[in-house]
Amino acid sequence: MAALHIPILVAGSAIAVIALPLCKAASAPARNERIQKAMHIPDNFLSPPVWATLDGIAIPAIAYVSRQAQKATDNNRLPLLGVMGAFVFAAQMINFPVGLGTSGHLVGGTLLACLIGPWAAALVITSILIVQALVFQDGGVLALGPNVINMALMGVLFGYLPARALFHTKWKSYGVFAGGCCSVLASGVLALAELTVSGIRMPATLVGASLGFFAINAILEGVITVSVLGAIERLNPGITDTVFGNAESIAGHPFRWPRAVAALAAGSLVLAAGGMLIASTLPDGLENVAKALGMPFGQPSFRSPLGYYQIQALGPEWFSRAAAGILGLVLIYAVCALGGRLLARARRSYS
Amino acid sequence: MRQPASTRWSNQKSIIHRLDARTKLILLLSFLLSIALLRAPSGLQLTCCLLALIAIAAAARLPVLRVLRASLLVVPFVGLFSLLVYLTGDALRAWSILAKSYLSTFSVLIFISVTPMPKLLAAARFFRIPALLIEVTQLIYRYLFVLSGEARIMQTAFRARAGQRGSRAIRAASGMVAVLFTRSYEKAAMIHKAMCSRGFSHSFIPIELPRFNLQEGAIVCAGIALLIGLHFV
Repeated sequence: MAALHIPILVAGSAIAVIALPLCKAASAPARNERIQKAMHIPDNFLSPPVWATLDGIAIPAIAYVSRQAQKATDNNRLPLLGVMGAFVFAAQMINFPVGLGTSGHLVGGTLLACLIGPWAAALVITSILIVQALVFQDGGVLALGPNVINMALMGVLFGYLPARALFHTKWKSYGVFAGGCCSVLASGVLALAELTVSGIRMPATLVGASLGFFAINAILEGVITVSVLGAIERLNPGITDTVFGNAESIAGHPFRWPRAVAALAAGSLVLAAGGMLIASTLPDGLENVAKALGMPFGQPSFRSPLGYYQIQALGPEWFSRAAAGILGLVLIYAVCALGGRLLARARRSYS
Repeated sequence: MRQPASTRWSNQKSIIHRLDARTKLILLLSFLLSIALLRAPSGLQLTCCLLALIAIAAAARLPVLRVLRASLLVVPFVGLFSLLVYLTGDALRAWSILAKSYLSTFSVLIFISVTPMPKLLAAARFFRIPALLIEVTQLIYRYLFVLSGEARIMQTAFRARAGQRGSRAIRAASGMVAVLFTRSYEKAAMIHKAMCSRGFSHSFIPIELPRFNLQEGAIVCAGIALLIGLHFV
């Protein structure tokens, strides 16, 4: 493993050296500005079954979130949502010096959830991801589903829950700190898990290194979120009342965790992280487990027909390819039509 | 943050700019899908895609070299990743990830350079994307450059006063974000008043897209047929 690790490091630094001038060349018109390349998943990183599944989950989820956000915000807050999105963009440009000559910046999911509520925050972050993917080519268009799930849905959920639970106690800032940490950790771990499921075999050292990197980022985000939220509350007293209620109104009604949600979310995260570690330390672990359970892992029937893009046993190769292609198009059309129908119904119900 | 050049290019006039935004959106998505489904792309397939995209960019009168160079922005991140894949012994997959990501970015950049944002959002509304999501995206896009300009001015002012060092620097930066938030919040209230005074009731009135005519339909079909054909090259 160590033998593999050293070339990765060497080659990594080499590519960094090569890539920096390229990066500068590409951004020549905006020389003085730090390039905001966050780590959104670009297209073609994940295998087609993975992104397609996640897109399929994200589309109805966003429809639901947008309905909830519509319910939770009155109409004169519509400009607020948009301006808050632009604010997060701008706040990400402000450097937080963290010593050793490096600087971090706010990610903002938890902060937004505390300021405008979780539904609206998830919606705004989704919009930000769309703008980043289209206008700034940061993150893929087909990979929007995975990115939305990692950052807008799970990131905001994991940021909001700890903050909500501890908000009116004396441990408020710990709650906000934990929210910031969890939100970044959840996004990172989910992204790693998705890559692993896509069949990228990462050596265990690299998984460890990335988890360490995420942990550092998570702590940074926690510190920055606490500090920024404190400063905002000093300038605008009572700004969080719309989300968390004020101290009098909730006296005697302590917050109860929506247990099912919290348990589900935490469980899925643990599963994802554990599964990823197992899969990376024992690359054949999953297949062994599958074999032991008698599942036909690795048989064509288990693989997605679109991923392999071929239906076997349909005769000559060109015919099976064409059939698979047309079947894929029909499937996609059916999914789109169904999704459109559902979305149209959802829209009618609130507009 | 300066406006990316693509927003300026999207207001030019050309045969590609004149196409319906829905046509372009469908073709972009089919292109991305078709690229993503190429399991082991051959050099010929990738070259075909690249040449086709260059031809489209040229027909749209975009500065092709600049667009090609701007798409390089993905290379560092993707390159690092595909290097990792390469080192784990999957050379073909590494190259295909790099090439496919570059082509995808290039196509998205071309798309955004030939489609003005309002038309793109109207097309999104046509495809039943939730209205609130579209409205929020529209507002974010509109105020993004205003607020980042403000953030930049604040940061310059901070540096001009020599800044602060050590643990107080985080406090100072938080103060900056808080001031930025307060200004944004006030701006949102003013924007709402301005919108109300111009007759805003509860949602935006979308711009009308023309009817989706036969010609556009033919272009979509031809494009999709070409993309399916790509898999047999």
